[in-house]
Amino acid sequence: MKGSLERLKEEALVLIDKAPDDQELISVKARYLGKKGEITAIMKEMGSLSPSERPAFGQLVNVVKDTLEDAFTRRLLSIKKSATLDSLKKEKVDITLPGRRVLVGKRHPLSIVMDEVVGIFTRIGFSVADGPEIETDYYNFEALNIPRDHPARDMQDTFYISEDIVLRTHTSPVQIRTMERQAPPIRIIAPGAVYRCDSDVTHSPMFHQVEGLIVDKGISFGDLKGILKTFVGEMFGEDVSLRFRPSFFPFTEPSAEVDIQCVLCRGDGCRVCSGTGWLEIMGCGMVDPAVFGFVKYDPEIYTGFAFGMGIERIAMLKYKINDIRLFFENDIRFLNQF
Amino acid sequence: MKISLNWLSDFVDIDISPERLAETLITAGLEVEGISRLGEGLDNVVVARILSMNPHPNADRLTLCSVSTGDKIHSIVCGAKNMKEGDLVALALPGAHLPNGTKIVKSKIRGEVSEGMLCSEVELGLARESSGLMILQDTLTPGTPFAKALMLDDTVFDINITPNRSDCLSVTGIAREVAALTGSALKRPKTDSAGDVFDTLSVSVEALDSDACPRYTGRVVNGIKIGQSPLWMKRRLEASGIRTINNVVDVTNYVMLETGQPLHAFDLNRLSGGRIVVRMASEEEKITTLDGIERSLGSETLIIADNEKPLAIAGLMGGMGSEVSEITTDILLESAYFKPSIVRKASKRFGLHTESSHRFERGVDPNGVLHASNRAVELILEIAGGNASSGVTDIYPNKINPVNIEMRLGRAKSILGVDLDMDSVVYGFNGLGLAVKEIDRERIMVTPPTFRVDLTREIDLIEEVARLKGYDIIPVTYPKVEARAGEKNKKGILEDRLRGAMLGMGFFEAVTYGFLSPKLISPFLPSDAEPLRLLNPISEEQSVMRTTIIPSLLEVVGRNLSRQNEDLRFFEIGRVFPFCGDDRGERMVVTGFMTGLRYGKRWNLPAEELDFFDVKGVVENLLDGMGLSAVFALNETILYLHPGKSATVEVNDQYAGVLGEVHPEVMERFDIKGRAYVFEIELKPLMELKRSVCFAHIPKFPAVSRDIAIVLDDDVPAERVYKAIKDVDPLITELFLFDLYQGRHVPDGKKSMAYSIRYQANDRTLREEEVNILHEKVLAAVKDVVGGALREVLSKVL
Repeated sequence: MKGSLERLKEEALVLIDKAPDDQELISVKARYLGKKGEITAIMKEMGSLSPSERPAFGQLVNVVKDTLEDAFTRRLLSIKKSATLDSLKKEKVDITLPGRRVLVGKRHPLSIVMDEVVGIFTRIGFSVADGPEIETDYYNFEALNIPRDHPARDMQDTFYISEDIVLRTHTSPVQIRTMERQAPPIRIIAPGAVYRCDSDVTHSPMFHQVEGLIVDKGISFGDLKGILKTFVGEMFGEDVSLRFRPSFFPFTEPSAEVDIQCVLCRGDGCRVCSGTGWLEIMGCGMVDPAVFGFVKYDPEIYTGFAFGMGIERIAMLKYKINDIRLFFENDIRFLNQF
Repeated sequence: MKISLNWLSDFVDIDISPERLAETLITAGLEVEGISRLGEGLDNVVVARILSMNPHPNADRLTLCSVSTGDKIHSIVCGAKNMKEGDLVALALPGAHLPNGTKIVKSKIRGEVSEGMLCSEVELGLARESSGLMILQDTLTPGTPFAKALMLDDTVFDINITPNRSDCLSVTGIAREVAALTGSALKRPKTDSAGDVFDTLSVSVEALDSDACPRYTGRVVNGIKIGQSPLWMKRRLEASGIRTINNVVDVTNYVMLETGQPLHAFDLNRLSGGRIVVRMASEEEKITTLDGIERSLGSETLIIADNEKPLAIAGLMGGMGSEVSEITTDILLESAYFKPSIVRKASKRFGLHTESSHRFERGVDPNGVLHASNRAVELILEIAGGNASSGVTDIYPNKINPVNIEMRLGRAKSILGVDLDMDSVVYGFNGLGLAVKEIDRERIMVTPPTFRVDLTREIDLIEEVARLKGYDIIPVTYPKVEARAGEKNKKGILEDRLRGAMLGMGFFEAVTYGFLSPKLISPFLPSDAEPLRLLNPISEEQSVMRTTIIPSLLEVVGRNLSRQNEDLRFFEIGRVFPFCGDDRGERMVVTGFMTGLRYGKRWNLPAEELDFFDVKGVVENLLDGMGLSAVFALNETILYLHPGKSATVEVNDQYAGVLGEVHPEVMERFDIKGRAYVFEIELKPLMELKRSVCFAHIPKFPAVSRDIAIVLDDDVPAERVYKAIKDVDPLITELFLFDLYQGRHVPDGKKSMAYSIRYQANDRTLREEEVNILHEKVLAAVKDVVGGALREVLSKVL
């Protein structure tokens, strides 16, 4: 009896494993474990055993039953799983087809760079200020210590609306407007469009600047170097060196041009930096006491510095763009690259 | 300004390379923008004399020349014809690499050895075209290096002189800087007017306006012979970018370049009445300037006149008729100090910018006037002969004296942020020719010479300290300021949100000019409005200020379409300007433009054309994203939009902008095919709203959804239907149109609208009967208010 039980078990396990679908599997289960099943039949024959043999045999039958039940369950799961898999396989798609994309626009490169510059300065405590693009002669020139009939006016080719109204040639008028409006301390950044009568591969009649101004007690040229060093490090990389060389702006004194190590040749000299290894990126200086005079700040109490840079220039360096006019053509094939 | 290194070396010893010198000048604020070597490519080119010329045995066109370089005879095969035996020519020896790229090697030409090449001016890089060999002046010595013989062995610096440094607009001025920066001594060629001297001045000189002309000197030189200038002078003028004319005019230019003082020479014999007057012109006076243009002078122009007529515009340009010409024998040499603003005004008025006006308007040295005159007379006598008057008329009623400026060392330290010691400051100032007197250990009294017009205040001296020391010595520090988070302004924050939303809706950001063509803006202006116009536009295409961004974007779209870019969406956040008489000032707007297919051509998206509701949806999204709800009102009066598909947008009862389909005629004007949709919303009304979010509880009780389809007159606006339903009861929490239908089963002139209505209470679950009553009310309202009839009622419980 014990032998035939073992045989039945082996026989059942083979059939379970072979069952191709759940129908077959259920019939196999019924054949062995059902009410009229072969294992059930053997159990019924247990009466013919001696009482001492019965417990051991009963135990054996239970083990076999458990084994088979377990095999059934596992096989059933596996059949279900492969059935699911088969039906899923039928839903297969060509995943190399392009996705259904919502149209997404691109930001203009000038807007990207402007935001980057403004972002750096707002992180170090500058707030954004604003002013009109159509300016009076007073704010654009006079109050910035550029009197009428002064050759410094030639530094910027000006568009005039009338004798006293101009398109601002720089964002510097925002300095004056801000200082007129509030008392020190001042820490502002003024981004915006400016205009000059000049048009070629590197000059656009409209372009963008970011102006910065700090006025407080005890501000020095050293501080100016510090702030701009931080900016250059953030914008162009910590390892990019910069130099300050004397220059002239009517509204700052001492004035400086800031050069950074050429971002293309790393200072070795190339076409972009005309072989000098340096790129001029902004003008800056200590606020001229005459400017404080116009806004009625006492230059003996307050000092400050101002700086200004061209966004197109920085964007051209950053993206290696060789013609400024591309920014204003707005060709999709250009805009799509940023 | 171009500066010759040879010339500079006359005034200061330079023992560093041109590159080092350029570096030194740059760190002192004299921006060297370029260095060029004049004799480049002329190594191995020497002066040679043609000894004999014989025909080439194997070529008719070639000549065999035997030339001497002094110690050696060379056989040269030459193709030119313009030389003769005895001529001096330029010989390029093997090894030369000429400016035009030719490399010279010893070679055989048609069987005859040629040990070099005889050169033309083109080959030497001296001219763009030439016929035949360059025949040299006979005074040269064979064997001399060509560059040296022709004084081409020079280096020229191109220096950008900032407007404050008029003292550096001369060789002497640059030399002074070089001396101070390198520690070399300044050399000054001695100036004394030699030559025969006679006592009386044959003209009377009067300067009538001592404000406009603080100093005027006149001097006579008689018996000169006009001719060519010597080579050295020509070369230096050419190197400086000045055209050579004749020896006297060249001298005036030469001395101007050397000293910074512009000079003018009049032909004495062409002055009427033996008189020179410096005065303001009268209203009706005219002059024909040397450029051949007749100019009306006007009463604000300072002129030099004789007894009858204007001779020159002071400091700007001389007139025809009194200029030095080949027949001139006697001259009156003018050296003067004109008030800078007077010269600048004249320069602006006549649109003329000259080497002379450039210097006068920046300020020349009033006390250097006579020195320049003496130097010029000396050179004229040297190269043009003649006798100089000893008497100089020098009208200088109020001498301009140097100013005294007090400088505090402490102030300099705190402005620059660097430690300074008094001795080195004083030493540096002295090097520049500034007189210094110590007041105490903290303060000095500085007296700059009158040529330093830029030094008038303490801050100017502080800058000078920094410039002399170099900005590199100033340590990097950080401002000690209150810790405060920086932030964008309201406008910037709003712009960022709008930009993000527009990008998300598939729009590309454009940046366009604030000005455009009057032709393009005109369809967008109210009738009879004129845009603001520039007085001096670069072109008509960029001559008026835009009052809307729409034409700018139309132009961008047109350009893209012409380059085969399709299905376009652009937006710009920018400024628009008032038109004439418009008191709204500058405004910020966001403008969007879309044309083409809604989704582009994609395999898995429908190829549908855009329509009005696309642009409306964009505006709704944009405003909704900011928590604003917009009211749209049909507006048939926006002339550039389709009269049936255009609307104004209001936000909180305030005008905010427009949207719609672009009028076909406007599309035609911009040469764009198809349909396009635009909107333009002002930023100000969006900014003025302070929105504070206060959260509302999410309803706990289930809602009941019912759908309703009604048939009503075609011309009833959807807005009215919506309102009629929504107003029925506050328990209607959500209402949206899910179908709009016209066609089969709907009579002509009618439309079917299907709405989904959601009923919901905050405090209880709505009972079926309650909802039924509400829904009946809705049906009644639809009937009463908008004349709709029920098409079918569907319901389901969520």
